[in-house]
Amino acid sequence: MPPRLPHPRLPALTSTLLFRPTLTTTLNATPLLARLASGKSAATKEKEAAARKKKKSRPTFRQFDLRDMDQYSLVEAVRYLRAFEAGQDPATVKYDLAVKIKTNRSGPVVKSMIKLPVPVRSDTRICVIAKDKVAQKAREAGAVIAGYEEVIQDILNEKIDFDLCIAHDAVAADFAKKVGRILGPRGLMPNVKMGTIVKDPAAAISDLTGKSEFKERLGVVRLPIGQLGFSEEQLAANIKAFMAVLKKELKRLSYQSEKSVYEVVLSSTHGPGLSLNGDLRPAEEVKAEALAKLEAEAGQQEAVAA
Amino acid sequence: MVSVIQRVKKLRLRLAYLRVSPGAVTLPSTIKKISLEFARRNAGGHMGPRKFWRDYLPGIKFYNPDVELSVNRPELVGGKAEMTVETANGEKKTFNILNKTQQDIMAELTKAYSATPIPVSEEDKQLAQQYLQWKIDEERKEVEREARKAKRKADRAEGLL
Repeated sequence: MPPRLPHPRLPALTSTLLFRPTLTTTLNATPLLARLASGKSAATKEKEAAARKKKKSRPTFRQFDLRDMDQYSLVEAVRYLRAFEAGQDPATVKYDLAVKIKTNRSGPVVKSMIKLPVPVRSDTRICVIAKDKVAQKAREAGAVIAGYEEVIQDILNEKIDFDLCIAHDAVAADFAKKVGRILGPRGLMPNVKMGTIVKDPAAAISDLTGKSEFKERLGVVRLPIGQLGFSEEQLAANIKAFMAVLKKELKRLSYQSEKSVYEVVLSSTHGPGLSLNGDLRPAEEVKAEALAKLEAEAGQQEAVAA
Repeated sequence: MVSVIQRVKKLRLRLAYLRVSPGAVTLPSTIKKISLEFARRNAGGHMGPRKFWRDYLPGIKFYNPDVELSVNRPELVGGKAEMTVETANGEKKTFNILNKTQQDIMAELTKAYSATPIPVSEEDKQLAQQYLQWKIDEERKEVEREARKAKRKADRAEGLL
């Protein structure tokens, strides 16, 4: 199929159309004058159009037929992406994985954490909320910020200089009341489910560093899966580990709603997204290698026979 | 979610452009690393090096995956513009690329290391042409959009007066 240029977009139904009467008539059966006479502003009409659109919504996210998609083995995809990232800093450029999930729009969503075999970032700044001795220990274990009253004061002043917050369970209830409003919307609020409210913050730090969180949004789970400098094998190990955890999570939710992995797309900071077919290496290459091996064996046998 | 057809259309064009891009050459396997150093701003002859990076390096990297590429832009304006090629025996050769166009830089590299161009398929060439055309169209549309926006703004301001 020869790819064609993208279809020229139809102009969106916005107030722009008021300046372009010819298009209005083609898009909308009501003539422009009648629309103006009805006294409805463009904004109202937009709202109405949105409401009409909403009614048609499906229970699931739209799924497209993947037979139309070009899919690549990991090695091929990485070769393309590396080319698009030529000359970029190998430590700052990341590979991202987007996993599309076959799922209902409503219902439970996947949300969990994973410790990848090769950690993508090792510079997570951790804040520990605990008193006295526990805070001291946490600081020794690598927390950037540790303490109680002064930390809460900082948070209340919106001085948030960390990516992860761990709370000691002795103070959790009291602390949650004070800063829940601030940390909650930022996704930094400690909770038991995420393993960030613990008895021993020092131990939790070593558990959690190098862990990355992932969450399903609009039927897609996204996760930075590696740095540009990673080898194919390192990347494959990370992807495998992540997919295993994700599938387990999907299964865990399956009694509430049916979920399954639909498509896996690898992209990079500046590169395009390439759909993966699940193989490490291109099928033709593997086949050619196997053939060569067979031939070599046959040759050896002949030599032995001779 | 963008439809699969839309995605695959654009992706094919973009990948085809990479395959036939002007950097589609095979370098001798002795080359280990190519590093560029130039300024962040174009002024004073730093445009060629930047364009060489943007237009040529992806192709070079695609056809020579083992060559390490690095781009360093320490200065905002001015400074030196150099290309350093490192070979397997630890030898380093530096080219001055200040005030050179991207074509000149490529020619110099090709000459010094006898790089051989990769034969490209007719199909890829066509797709790449379409990609370029598409980019030009997009740019034109963007300009038109901006113009419309400016006009709307002006009209509205007039209405308020």
